[in-house]
Amino acid sequence: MNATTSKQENKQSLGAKIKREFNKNLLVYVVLIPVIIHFIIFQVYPFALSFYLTFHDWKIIGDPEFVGLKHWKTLLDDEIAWKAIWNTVKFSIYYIVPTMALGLVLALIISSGVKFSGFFKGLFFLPVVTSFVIIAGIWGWLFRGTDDGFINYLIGFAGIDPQLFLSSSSQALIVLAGLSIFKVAGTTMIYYYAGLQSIDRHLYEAARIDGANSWKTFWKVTFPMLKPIHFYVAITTTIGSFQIFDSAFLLTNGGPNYATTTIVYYLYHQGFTSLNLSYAAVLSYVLFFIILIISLIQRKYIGKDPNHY
Amino acid sequence: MKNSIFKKFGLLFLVLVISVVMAACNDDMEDTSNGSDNSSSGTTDNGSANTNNGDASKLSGEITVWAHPYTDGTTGEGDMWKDLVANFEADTGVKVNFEQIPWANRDQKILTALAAGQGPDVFYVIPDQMPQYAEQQLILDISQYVSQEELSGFVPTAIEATSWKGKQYGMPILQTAESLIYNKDILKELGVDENSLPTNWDEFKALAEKAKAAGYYAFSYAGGGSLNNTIYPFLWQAGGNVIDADNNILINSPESVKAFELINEMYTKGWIPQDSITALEHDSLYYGGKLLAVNGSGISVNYLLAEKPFEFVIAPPLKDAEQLTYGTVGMFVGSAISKNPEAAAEFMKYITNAENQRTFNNITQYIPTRDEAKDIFEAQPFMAQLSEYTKYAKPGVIHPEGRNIMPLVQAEIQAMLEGKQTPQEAADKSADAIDKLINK
Amino acid sequence: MKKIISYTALAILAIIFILPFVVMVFGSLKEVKQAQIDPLFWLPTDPSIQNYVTIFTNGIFIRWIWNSIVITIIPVITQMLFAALLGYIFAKKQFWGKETIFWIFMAVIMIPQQLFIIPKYIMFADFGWINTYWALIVPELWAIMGVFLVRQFLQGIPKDLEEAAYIDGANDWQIFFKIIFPLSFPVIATVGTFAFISNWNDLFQPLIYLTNEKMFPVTVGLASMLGKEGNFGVEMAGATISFIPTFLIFIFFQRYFTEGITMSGIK
Repeated sequence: MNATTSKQENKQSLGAKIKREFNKNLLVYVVLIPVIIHFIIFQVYPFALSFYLTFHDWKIIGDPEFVGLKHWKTLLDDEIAWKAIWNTVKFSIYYIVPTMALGLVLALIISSGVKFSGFFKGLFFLPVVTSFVIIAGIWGWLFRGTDDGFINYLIGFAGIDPQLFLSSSSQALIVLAGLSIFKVAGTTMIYYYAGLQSIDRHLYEAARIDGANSWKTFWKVTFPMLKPIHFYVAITTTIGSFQIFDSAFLLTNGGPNYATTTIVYYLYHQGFTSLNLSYAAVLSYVLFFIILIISLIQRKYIGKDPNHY
Repeated sequence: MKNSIFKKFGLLFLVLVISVVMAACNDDMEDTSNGSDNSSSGTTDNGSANTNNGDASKLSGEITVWAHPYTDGTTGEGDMWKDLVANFEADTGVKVNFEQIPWANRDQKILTALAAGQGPDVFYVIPDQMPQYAEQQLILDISQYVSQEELSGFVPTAIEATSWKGKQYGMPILQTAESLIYNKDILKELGVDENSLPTNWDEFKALAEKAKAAGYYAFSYAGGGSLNNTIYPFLWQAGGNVIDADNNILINSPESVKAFELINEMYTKGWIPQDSITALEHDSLYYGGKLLAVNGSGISVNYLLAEKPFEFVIAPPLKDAEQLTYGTVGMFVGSAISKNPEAAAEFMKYITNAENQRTFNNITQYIPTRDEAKDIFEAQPFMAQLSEYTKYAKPGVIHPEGRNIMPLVQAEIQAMLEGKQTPQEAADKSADAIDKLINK
Repeated sequence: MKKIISYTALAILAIIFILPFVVMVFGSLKEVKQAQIDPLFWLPTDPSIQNYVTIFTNGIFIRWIWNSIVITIIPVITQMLFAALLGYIFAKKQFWGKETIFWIFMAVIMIPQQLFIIPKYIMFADFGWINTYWALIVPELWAIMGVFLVRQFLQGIPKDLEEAAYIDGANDWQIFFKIIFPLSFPVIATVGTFAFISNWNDLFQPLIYLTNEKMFPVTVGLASMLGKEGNFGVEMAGATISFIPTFLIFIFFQRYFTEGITMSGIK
């Protein structure tokens, strides 16, 4: 086929070209088009509607009234909102890396050839399937700030003074992060476990021949080979950490002195207790942009070059 | 009318989407919208539609009622509702769709349904929510359906808690009163006669010091929970208040500050547990016999009677400048978008009449809001005693911003208890925060 | 010595992780009227199955289980299928706007779903979906996190495998069903397990979209049995009952988590 005829063909049959492309990627279109339609109806539409309503006074009953940037301006000098954003950032610092680390450690333990590894895998997964209300209740009991609180009782043996934990504005958020880590680590463990299984055994052998000890092997072989898992887990825990709500709702009511007021806690309160739905929508967009930016950064630094096998 | 703007937005959105997305999806799009049209016309047909024919005495149509589980279901609550509803249907000819809604996220559920132009005709609220819902025009002004005479049978505090700005919004079905419940074993150990318990702050402080010295906590303070159960009763006892109906902020008046000082003193002297800053309850300390007294209501009384962790005695609310305590009032309100408001109001009146209040409160162990129905507690001395105290009970801050004020004040008290500010500063900062909230 | 230390550490971890579970099960065997988590309150002094009897004899519990199964199983199956298909498409196919579409999908889950509740309710009310299974099934037919997971795994699979198949004349569908699906089944099983857990345990959405107790899933049904003061024993019994299917699913599927991902065999 020479150049002239192919040019002619191009001109003549755009339709045929589309048809060829369509045949080539039939699977893509057949699957993706219904998914996109579903996505538009159930995600984009409510998303766009609530964005539209950030410029209105969104009343429960009665027509929304256009107010321009009023609710966005409220954000600027709402100290509690900024505090909530900062708390959420702090929470994610306490939460993301420890969750990944604990999940990885648990995965390493169960794949290291300990006896009854299947049993331990089930055990470490228990908090994931146990009701959150119960886990939060137990956590609250463990970290009770009174002298007879369980952890206070334990640290008493080490000569440490009783701590206030959930009643202390400097400790409460850390205790809540601990709760989330405990609840989620089993999930992270499963992803890492699956990842560990997929690492080529020859790589370990090669490392051993090179004389690397197990510590070095871990950092030179295991850890970098888990990159796709790191990326996935980092993104999911980031989203999870920025949407943290339940534990503050159940254990501290956002206190003491707003120390555990996270963005979602605050927006829930603004929306459904103060009936300030438009402002709650503004807050949720703030949250959206923060997570988006962080995810893009993560994508740039952890997510690039996924085809490294 | 309400939904028109959403429909308009939906249409706009659809046009936008169609112009962006390739023409290939058009078929599917039309399918979806056709389907939705069909089903939405279907819902209006079999919804609770009932046009107002202008004749109030002749009721018809149907209403939807949302109530919650007021008991754990073991005392015949389900059958009670069946009977009540059946009798109402027989009397009026109105069909009642009775639905029992879990307590969890109930605010959100009601608001969401109302926002979609759906939801119940009659539902349950407490006085914290009522003025806010009234200001947002979510609930029905029932003044035109209820005569003054019909209201006269209710105790005055219950009527006060169900009306806002001279309009009647709710029909009260139940109330509670909190009073001091003492652990008798601890009293005995301290050598205190149960007939000469503290009646004012000074006597209470002296007893608290004694309890502390004997290794007990004197009192429970759930600083992470509602202020109704924590500082407000003391505020009222001292002669202070939070805010009045004319938006005068009273929370940093000299009287109110006394309550802040009292809480601070209780905490620094160790009369209340160390975790009082954010605690949501001190149940295990209390039922475990480590707490001298709590401000408790019928729920604790019933628990203590059933589980018998220790002997107890109830004392009247304390008096500083005034003798007051907290007690809520549970009420049924009508939805402002109800298509059958007459029937809704009739149901609210029916369910709160003396006979039905006896039935309801006997099963749920709350206190009736009519004096004549209080005879159900003749054989229950503790409940009878608590129902006496409802005359001292205030139902919280009755103000549209009442629920929004709470977290602001709570945060300042928490900062005070953490030692970061004095009681006066906490009160002043609370006042500033409230001012900012209501004048924004 | 080293072994003793690591087994001690393992034992301590085991105790911490099993604690909530023990409290839940033992608590369910107690008749406690009010929520109180006391150091030793849950110890089984005269255990009784009264709480379970209360739950199972309320007349409608079997129906609640059936509802839970319907609104869980259908989305789990479709989510697994779509995770596999879309994961394959986004990992292996080339088409216009691929990256953009994927990251738009990802972006929207970052909005707290709390906010979507009212717009969605209005939409479902228009569709006539309130108090029906549709409101809980249709929006959950596929989920981006599962797609993301499969995509991550498939990106690690060497290209030579499909290229060889293309040369043999296989089309996309054949490649998907003969190669990709079996290969990524362990990941798909993981997606299914987590979808099952989250759909089965979801309380929030059914709470908002359902009012008729005949339509309640187990989570909402159990919540509706709790009076204002709660009932600790019944709550624990309910939690234990809803725990069982999710944990069984985990036990059943977990053996697939490990199989097949062993890429070394393919390379």
